[in-house]
Amino acid sequence: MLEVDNLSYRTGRRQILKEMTLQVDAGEIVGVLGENGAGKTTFMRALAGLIQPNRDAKISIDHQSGDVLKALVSFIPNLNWATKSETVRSVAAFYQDAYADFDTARWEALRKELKIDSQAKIGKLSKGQLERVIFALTVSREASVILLDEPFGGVDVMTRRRVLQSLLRWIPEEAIVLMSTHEINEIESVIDRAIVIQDGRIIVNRGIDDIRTTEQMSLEQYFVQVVTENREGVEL
Amino acid sequence: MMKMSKLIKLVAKDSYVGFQTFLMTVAAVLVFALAIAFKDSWHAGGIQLYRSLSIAIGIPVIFGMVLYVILAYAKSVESWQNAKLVLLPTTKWRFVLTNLVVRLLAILVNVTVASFVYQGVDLAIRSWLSVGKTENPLHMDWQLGNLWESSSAIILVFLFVNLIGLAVNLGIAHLMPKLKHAKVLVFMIAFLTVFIAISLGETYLLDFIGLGDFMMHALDVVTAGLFVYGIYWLYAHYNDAY
Repeated sequence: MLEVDNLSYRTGRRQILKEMTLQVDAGEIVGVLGENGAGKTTFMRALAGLIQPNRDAKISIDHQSGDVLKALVSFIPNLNWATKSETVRSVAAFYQDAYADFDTARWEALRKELKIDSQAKIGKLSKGQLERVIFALTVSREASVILLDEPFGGVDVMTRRRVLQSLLRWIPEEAIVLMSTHEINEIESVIDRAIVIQDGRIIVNRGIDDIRTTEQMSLEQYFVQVVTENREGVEL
Repeated sequence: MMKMSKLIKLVAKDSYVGFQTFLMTVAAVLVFALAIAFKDSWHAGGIQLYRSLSIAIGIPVIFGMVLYVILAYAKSVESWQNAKLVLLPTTKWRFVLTNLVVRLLAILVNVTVASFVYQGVDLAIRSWLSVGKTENPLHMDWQLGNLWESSSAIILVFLFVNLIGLAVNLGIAHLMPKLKHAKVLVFMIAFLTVFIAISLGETYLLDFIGLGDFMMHALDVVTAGLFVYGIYWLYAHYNDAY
């Protein structure tokens, strides 16, 4: 179980995350929704340990917290560290070396499914191809929590579906997946729960079935309605 | 959590990223300079040829080494915010200490190897042309002993650069994002200001209080400890990795 309690983050004078509290059960797939700049990526970066939140924030996975979280969370924010001449194979070799839970067989299967050329140079990949590599590397770990930040950026519709199918096929049964995206329709059939972040706060945290049955609308319609209401009168 | 040996291997590997390109660039400059030296002084032979070759080899080697040290220091400073390394499954203390020790050792080893190779080549040319050591116009006389004698200064400077570099990077990221493009200038100002303050403090301790050698070494150790703790503190409480 992932537990987040009172998570806030400030950089300079700007408060980016505000008192976020969340509990996610093992095996749940959660859609992290929000407008650009709402705090989705910062939230994921805080969960992964890339930024240091406020001191009274508590983040735990299966009641473990602190440095051990890095071994339990799989997150790759980007591949900016790789030189342009590096190949996909050498980048994957780093993750194989660094993480004991990296499943090489799963990586190879995902690579083939998503048509990733292991000899391709990082500098020659398109945005969509790079996202596919990041997705495959992230999911190849047998981690307790998998964070996917905009996995569909620059990815065409057919590949998006392949990526989602791969996610469902390869995700460890007990793993928690948090996936931020603007492709709300695309993930609706896959996620168990949606959280909506606005101005650094979690304003919605509901099961997807609950939203459908109670609100009688699609996730995207619900998202637009909630965000508009919280903006107090902004017309769309 | 990952094994210590694996962490050392990954940090060492990262510290050598780009090293091959750097070596090839220096080698290309060397080949070009040697070609000119041979063309100009081949017929003169003897001392004249030795002097030309010494300059053709020595200047690229000196500039190459200085440039290498600057780039290695910059890479070390950037490593604190490198998501690939920050996300490694290890404790913060272990990462901080390994990152510092491995990178410093890599720099020391590379500089030592370069100086040995230079001296070997110089000796070979002198033997070939039957020329004495004093004919070297650059008067370069590197000895391993010199490196070890100045090891405390090398360690302190390395830690100091990392501390100020990390502080400047985090300060810019959190407080002054508009200065993002003037990072080097801000670093130089911060570096010189703190360096002058520490130098004045040490001068005061030496001249007015009169600390002995032992106390000065003890002061070096305390200063190094404070630098390491400062790096850890910034990393553990304010780090912002990408």
